[in-house]
This record gives sequence, C-alpha cells and structure tokens, in this order.
Amino acid sequence: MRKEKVLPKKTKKISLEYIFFLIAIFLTGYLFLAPGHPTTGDTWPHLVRQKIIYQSIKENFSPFFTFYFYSGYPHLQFYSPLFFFITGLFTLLTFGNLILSLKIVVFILHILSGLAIFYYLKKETKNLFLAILGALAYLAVPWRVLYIASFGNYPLSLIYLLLPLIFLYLDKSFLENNTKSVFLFGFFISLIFLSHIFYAVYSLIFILLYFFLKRYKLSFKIIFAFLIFFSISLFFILPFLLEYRNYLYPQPQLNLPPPNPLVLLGLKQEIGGYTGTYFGISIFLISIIGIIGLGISHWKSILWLISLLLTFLLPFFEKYTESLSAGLPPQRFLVYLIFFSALLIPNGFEYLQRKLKLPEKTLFYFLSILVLIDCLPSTIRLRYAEKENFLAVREEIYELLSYKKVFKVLDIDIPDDKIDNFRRLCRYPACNFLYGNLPSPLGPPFHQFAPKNMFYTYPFVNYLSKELTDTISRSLSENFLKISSLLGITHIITLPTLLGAGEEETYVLLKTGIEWDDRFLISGAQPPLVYGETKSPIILISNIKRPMKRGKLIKEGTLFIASDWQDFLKEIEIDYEKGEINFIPGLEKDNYDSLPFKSDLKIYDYSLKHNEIQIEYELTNQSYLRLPISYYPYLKVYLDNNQIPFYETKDHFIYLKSEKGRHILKVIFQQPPLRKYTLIFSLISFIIFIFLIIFKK
Amino acid sequence: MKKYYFLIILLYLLPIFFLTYFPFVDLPQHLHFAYVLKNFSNYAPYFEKRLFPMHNTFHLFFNTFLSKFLPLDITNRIYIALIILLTFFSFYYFLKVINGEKVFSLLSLLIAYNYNLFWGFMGIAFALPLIIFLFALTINLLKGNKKENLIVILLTILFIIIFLCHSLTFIYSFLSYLVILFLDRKSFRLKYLLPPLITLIFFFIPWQAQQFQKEGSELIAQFKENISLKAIYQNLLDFWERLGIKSDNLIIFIFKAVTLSTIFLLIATPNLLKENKILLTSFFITLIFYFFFPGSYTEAVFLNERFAPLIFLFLIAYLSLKIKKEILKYLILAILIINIFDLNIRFFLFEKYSREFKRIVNKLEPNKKVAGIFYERRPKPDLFGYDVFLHFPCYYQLEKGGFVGFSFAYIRYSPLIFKEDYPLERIDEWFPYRSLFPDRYKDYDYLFVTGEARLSDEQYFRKMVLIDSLSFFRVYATKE
Repeated sequence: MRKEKVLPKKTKKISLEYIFFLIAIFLTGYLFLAPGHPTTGDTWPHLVRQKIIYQSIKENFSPFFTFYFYSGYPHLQFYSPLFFFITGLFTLLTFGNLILSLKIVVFILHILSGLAIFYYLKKETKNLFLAILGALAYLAVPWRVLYIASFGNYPLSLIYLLLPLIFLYLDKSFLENNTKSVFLFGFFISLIFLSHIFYAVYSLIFILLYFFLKRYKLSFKIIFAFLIFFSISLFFILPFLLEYRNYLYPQPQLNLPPPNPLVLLGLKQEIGGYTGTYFGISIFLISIIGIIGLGISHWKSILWLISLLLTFLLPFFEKYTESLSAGLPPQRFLVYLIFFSALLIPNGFEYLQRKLKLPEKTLFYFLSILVLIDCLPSTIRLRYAEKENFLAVREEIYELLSYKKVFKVLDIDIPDDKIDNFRRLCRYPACNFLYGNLPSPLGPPFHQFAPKNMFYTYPFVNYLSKELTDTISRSLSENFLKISSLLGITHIITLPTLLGAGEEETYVLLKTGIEWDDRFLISGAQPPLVYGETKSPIILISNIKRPMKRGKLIKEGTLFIASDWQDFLKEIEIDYEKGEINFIPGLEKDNYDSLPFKSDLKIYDYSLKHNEIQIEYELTNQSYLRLPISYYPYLKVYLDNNQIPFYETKDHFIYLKSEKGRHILKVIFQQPPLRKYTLIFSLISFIIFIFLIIFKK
Repeated sequence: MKKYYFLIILLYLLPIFFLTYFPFVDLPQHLHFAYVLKNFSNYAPYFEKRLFPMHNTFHLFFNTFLSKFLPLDITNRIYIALIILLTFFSFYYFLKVINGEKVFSLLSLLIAYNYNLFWGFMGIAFALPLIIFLFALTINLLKGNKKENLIVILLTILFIIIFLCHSLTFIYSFLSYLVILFLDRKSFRLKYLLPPLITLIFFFIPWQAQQFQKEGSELIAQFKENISLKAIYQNLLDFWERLGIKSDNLIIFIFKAVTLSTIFLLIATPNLLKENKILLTSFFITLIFYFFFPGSYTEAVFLNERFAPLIFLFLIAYLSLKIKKEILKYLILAILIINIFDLNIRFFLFEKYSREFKRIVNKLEPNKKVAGIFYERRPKPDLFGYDVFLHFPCYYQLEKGGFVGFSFAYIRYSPLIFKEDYPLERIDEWFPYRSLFPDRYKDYDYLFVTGEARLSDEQYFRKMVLIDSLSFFRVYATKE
C-alpha cells in the first residue's frame, strides 16, 4: 500500500502587521469622526450641496438648480457632484443627519483610500511591509487630514481613493493584458472627473506622464478606457465644456501664495490660510531617501519632483498660468506630492534596509511607528466646534421664522463695510438654509458660477450692511428699502448698530423702517441678534419698461461688481405700499415700451422650493412684473399653467408681462435637453459598464 | 575631548551673548526678586524676606551675591551659560563613567535650552545637569574610587545646591540616591548616607517645619492632588513637547526618533537593562516622577513635566552604550548643525521684540508702577511655543526701579513676600485686563500692551496716553 505524505493543514493566520495596519488606519482617520461640527471655509457650501442632494432624493426634484441661493443658480451643474451624491444618500440613511453622514463618508473614504494604495503597493512591491508603510504614510500626512477635515475640502477624499486605483488599473491594463482592468481604468477616470474637475485634469496630466515614462505603447485599450470614461461622465463633462464659459462669473486674479516650506516642515507653526500645515518630516525624509535609492531619473522621482515644483513654482508664474491653477490655492498640488511620496516610501525603506542591514520587520515597525508618532499628534487632538455655540441665538430665530412667510432672508451678522465679508457671504446663508431652511439672496460661495445678478447683489448687500454701521441716522434710508425690494428680502437678521459703551452698559440703535424683534437683545442672549420683517414687496410692477446702458465691471475686494450700481439705484423709485417701480430696467438691447394704464398689485400667496417659485397675485391692469429671480434662459415661466416668455432685467433678474386679473405664476427649473439626454446616456453607459464588469471574464 | 566640541558648545552659547532679554517665561520674576534683594533698603517697607531655610532660591542667591561685583544682567547671563555648560559636561562625564560612546554627549545640547529653561524655572533648569553629575559621581563612588572622601564632600555640596534649586529635585535625587545605594549593597558604606542626610536635616526639615508653622506645607498640598488617567495619557502624548521648543516640529521629530531608537534598542538587547542597574534605577525613578508625580498645586502647575528632559538624557545614555558606528558621529553633527541654525534663528527673530521693549522702557520715567496687559502673549510666528512675554514688565523694574503689577511675591511660598502695605493689589497674571479694568488700571503709571484689546476695554485705552507703539508692544501712560 502506498503511503501518502500527509501535509500539514494550512491555517490562515492573520499577521500582526495587518492588525497594526488596521489600528493605524483608524488612528489616522480619527479626526474625521471627532465630535462637534466643522465650521471652517469650504465646509458650508459642501454641506449645502449635500443637503440639497438629500432633499432631492427625498422629495424627488432635480438637484441641479436651486432658488434657495443667489436668487436661483445652477447648483452642481458646474461642480463635480459625485461626493455629494454619496453624502446625500448617506444623509437619507442617517435620517437627515448631515454631519454624521458627512463624517461617516469621509472616514470610510479615508479607510478605502488606505486599502487602495496598500493593494497597489502590494502589487508593485510584492512585500507586505513595504505596502503597509507606504499606505500608512499616504494616510498619516497631517496636511492631508487637516485639509479635508478642518478646511472642509471633502471631495478630496475621493481623489485620494481614486489616484491609486487609476494607477493600479493602468498598470494592470498594460502589464496583465486584462480587458476588465481597461474598463475599470476608464471607470475610475470618469469618477475622478465627477469628484473634482481640477484634480481630475492634473491627475490626467500625471497619468499621461506616467504612461510615457513607463513607455507604455498606445493601443486600442486606451480608446476603450476613454470611451468608458467619457460615456459615464458625459452628463457632467459635456455640458460643462459647452456651457461653462457662458455661466462663468468673472474672478479677480488673487495671486494666492504657495504653501510655506517652513510650515510644511514644521519649523513654523501655522494652521489655516494658504500657508499649509505640517506635512510630516518623517514622510518627507523617507521619500527623499527613496529618491536617493532609486535615482533622480526614475519615474517616481520625476513625478514627485514635478508635484513639488507645481506646488512652489506655479504661483510665481500666475500671470501666465492662471488657467492652469484656476486661481485655486497652490497647496492643492500637495495632493500629488503625498501620492508620489507614498510610492517612494517603499523604496526609501529598501534603501535604508540595505544600508543599515537591519531585520526587515524591525525596520518596518521602527519606521511605521516613527511616521505615526510624527504625524498623529497634529491631528488626533483636534476637536470641532459645538453647533449650539456657533449658532447660539440663531437657532431660536430660525424656529421663530419658521412660523412666518419668508421669501429671502439676509443675515448681516456684524454690520460693516466689507463687501467680501466671509461670514455674511458664506457662513450664514449656508447656516440659515441648513438649520432654518431659509433662502438667501447670497451664497453659498461658489463665486465662479454665481449668477450675473450678483454684480449688483454684492454691492447692494454691502450697502445694507454699511448703513447699519451708521450711527447718525435713526431711520433706514430710501436706498435701504429699495434694495430690500429689488432683492426680494423679506427678513433681515443682524446685530444692532453699536452706538458706544459706558462703564456697564452698551448703547445700541435699532433704526426705524423695519419692525425689529429685539427680544434676544433685551434678554442679553449671545450674540444679541435682532431680526425684522422688511415688508418689501417681492414683485415689483410697472407699466413702463425701458432699456438701460450696460455698466462696466470693477473689482471691489475680491469680487467683481457692476460699476453703475449706485447710478442704477438713483434712477429707481419704488412705491412700497403698491409694489410699484417707476420702470422696469431692461437690457441695453431691449426696447422701450409703455402700457396704457398703471396697475395695482395684490399678492395673495407665495412659496419657494428648490426648483419652483409660485406666486399668486392680482393686477387691476396689464403690467410688467419684475421678479427677484436670477435670469437663466432655460427656466420656464407659467402663468396659470400656460408657458409665457420672460426677459432679463438690467440687473440680471427676470421680468415678464402679465395680463390683469388674479393669476398663479410659476417659475420652474427643468433639466435643459442637453443635460437631460446626456444624463440618460450616462446612466445607460453605467448600467452597461456594470454588466460588462460582472459578466466579462 | 575633540576640539570641535568646543566650537559646537560656543555656538549653543551664542544667544547668551546677543540676546537683550531672554524668552524664558518666569525669568523676569526671578530677576525681579534678585533686584529687590540687591536694593532691599529701597523696598524694605514692602517686602518680607524668607530666605532661609527656603528652596527655589539658588538663582536668587547666585545673582544677588555676584551682583555685588557685576551687573545683574551679566550675572544672570553667567547663570544661564552655566546651565548650558553643565548640561554638556555633566552628561559627558556621566557617559564616561557608564562607558558609553561619548559622542552622544553632544546630543544633550539639543535640550540645553529645554522646557524648564523656557518656562524660566531657573532652579530646576540648573538642578537637572547637577542631578546627572550627582549620578555620575555616585557611580564613581560605588565603583570604589580612591578619592572617596572628596566625592562624599562633592555629593554633599551637590545635594545642598539641588535643594536650593528646588525641593522637588532634591526629593527626586534623595530617593534615587538611596535606591541606588540599596541596590548596590556590596559597595555601601555608612558615610555615603551623609550627603543626603545633611541636606535633609539642615535644609529640608527646617524648611518644612517653618512652613508647618506658617502657611502649611507645600508638599502636603502637592500630594493631596489626584492623578487622573487622562493626565497620565497626556504625559505620554506630550512628552516630546516638554523637552524644548514646542513650536518646532523638526526638533520634536528628532526627539521622537531618538526615543523610538532607544525603545527598539532596548527591546532588541534587553541585557542593556540588566547590565546597567544604576542607569536603569535612575531611569525608572525618573519615569515614575514624570508620569505619576501629582498634578497641579498652589501656584505652580504640573511639576511632573519638569522631569521630561532628564528622561531624554537617559534615553541617549542607553543609545550610547550600544551604538558605536563611525557614521553616527556625522549624523549627530548634522543634527546639531541644523539645530544650532534653527535655534539661533529663532532667538535672533525674538531679539527684535526684546530690543523694541528695551527701547520703550528707555523712554519711560523711573520709579513708576507698571503692569502688562497681554492680549496676545506670543509673537507671530510663535517662535518657541511659550508665553514668553508674560512677565516682561519686570524688566522695567530692572532698568528703572519702581513696582511691577504682578510679582511672585504674592505667592505665599516665595523667598520674598509682600507686606500688607504693598501699594498694588494682586492682579491675574494670565488675564490682567480682568483685574485692571474698569478701575484698578488707575493704580499704575504705565501699561505695556500687546495684541488687540477687547472691544469693551477700548474705552479705557482711549482715556490713556499712548507713549509709544512698536510692532508688538504699545505703552500707555494712565495719567497725563
């Protein structure tokens, strides 16, 4: 009888290194889950986008336009929407908890990005230690974590996930001759474009450089990949490319500085602004050692150096390269530096091992722990603000306003004469929407694609704020009330005008002209905000329309505004009781027209939704109506369910002609054909792609 | 010793020569005491002396004594220079007696300007290198050194100075010394107990007895404090920020790399622990003091933190026992060169503020009452991570006499305390505006102000006369 050799049964043992890796991943991502509410910079527009997607899923409307901001603007038509699709969906799963779902999504993406780069490095190096160390470095860079979590650049989480996947599947496509990999490569490129267009363009440049440095040969695979990329992202890319110039709001050249190398290396401590924050000396050093080990001509060294040069040199050529940097902070290129550092770190490890002749495992733990103790303290102890603290009395004002008829709310915050006051333009319009569901004539700041009416709205709002700082006049000026009517502001939240302070008292002024609710001021609540109803008519009528000269654009602060906004105000006269304007200001090309009779206006009811504004009114005679709604040619206006034409005013709002009688007016956003058909095409492509991935061997 | 060592030491001493004022938080208060003691005839109606038996007086005695021959500013510079020199030389000697690689002694210079010095804990900053020297002498003694009696005398002097530097450092040295003697019973002689016992009997016990008679024991108050788990975790996490400049991630990274290297070395070669029992004992006791010494008490906070630099020196000592590679010398030199540049540039940038302050002080009339209101306590960029201007108004007194608004003489355990008729009430040192406004600012002649005033305080400043405004400081006269 033949004796068979009995082999010991293979047991799968989870290596200690995996457990270490898992713990490290959680530690590096801890800040994403830290308690509290993020409040800085870009947090606000992102939260707004997230909430709108969430509401659009729940209430079944298109998330690509909203009347809640800027008097109506193309929300997510010119901003890559993928991140918000995900967070919006998660918000639905968390029953509307925006912050919780945001934190969960960003944390999951952080972990996934760690696993993605680990998988990529494992494939490349075939060594567990090298892959874990590289992945740890990729995750632990304090700048990366802080730039996402503290500065609110959330879509970057997707970029960190997609970068290793794109490079991985590019390699697989060419080295393994695998069609599925080609499809996935194309798919991930489409996702990166749907995540953030700026990073997508630069990722593409780096991919091309990589392609040529690795000497891959052009083949049909690439065409396939690009077909998939283009068809899946078509609904965003094509309208973007065709339309973005028409909708671009001019941006002044800001010449944002590059990050400060001293800050990145930790020699100087600064958080916030454009100077960057700590990068992690350990990561920087091991990457340099990697370059020493590989040589400067290796593709990794070249791409690492290019990302470094882009970060620090591009700003010096801002004049010539504005389109390259899109006016965005140069520190954004650090994303690529982090990625290529992570790729270099395994080489740094190998070089050190060769030179120091240390056991691989010992060196692995030494370097991993060094990276962690170098980087983690910068992020692990941070906390976000408490929602109750930064909203304070506003929460109660939102509650009170929910019982009132509101068209648009302007939150002045502290009155001043600063046209680009960040809190007024960004934070409070977003807060008012997020926590009070209140519309605003302002932001959330996405100045690049703000509607043209902002040429006037920005200086108008600044005028209102400036007037509230004036301590001489006891009543609100004529212009103040004009602006409220022109912008459709029904309510104002503000700190009262400060007159002075005695030993124990503070003297404030509440100007007449608005019915102020001063209960929080009297009770000494903090901040001592007041709010009031402007009683401004939201529709202005006239029997005359006349063209006005087009004004020039001038720069004020960091914004472009219309130079003739004051002259425009001077020419306008409004009867607030009747809701009558002396004439409808048309565009320069418009013609003069006068209707035979003046009319009286009575507004019965109105409502504002993301895609629809409805107003019920009555006219005694045929009249022109001016609506404080941004002019976009693709909007549809219905008068008693019959579509009617509408036109653009000089200040880029809407006007139309209405017959006498009682009417229901609806202004509706419907997906324009180009967007509608490309969206259908993209969805079909996506389904086909899924089918191919599942069934293709 | 190599010749280039001296050059390196000299470069570390450089700031002592060029700085107008030092960025050491409490130092101006210590100098204020020395000034008052030196000119006691002028201040006798306002201050009561409690000079002996009293700890935390070494800086005071050293400067008051030497200032009879030299200006106070110079004596203070000598004191700081001694700290730097002692840090290196005592550690060099320590490595020599434990047979460590002596090039590692250079790494001690990384913490020459350490946490204690930056906080202006002038006694503890002086005591730490002395403790290292004391351990080195003890090892020498237990090895059977022929100059046994001389070492015992030296140890006695050291114990006394260490007590005068700070009672905490004395307790630590006392305990460590006894445990070391206990563990090495073979070499033990009864006379070895004399140095700590003499200090205990003639200094420590009378000091405690006097405190019991008056305001109660500092130490008892200290031990009543609880140590929370959070504090222990914090001690671990913040260790590297308690070694030197807090706002410099580069030096903190080096500290971390050294710490990690030692931990890995000790895991790989555990015999190092067994073979060097005295080093292990000292290291272990230091860790106990660092992690578990009770938290805040009375006026001082977090005494345990002050042992962090000592831990770092022991970590280097372990490295020196095993690593002997030639390349290491170059690595250490590279680290030191970077550190020298980094450190001197920071001091150089700080000098701008010191000069500004001095310029302002020179304009003021002598013998006035002054206070500081620091709305912004650190310059931007934050050069050191400490509230370096907190006691800067004391420099006015050193230059022009008069009285300062906040003084350590308010603290009941100080060697100089206020008498009841001191002309100024106590103010909150961290938030002086809370004490000074709305009324008490009128008690002062000059106010040194930094940063943007609170909106509610603006009205008071409008009533004052702005004498000068430089980039960081403004000085107001409260009366026309």
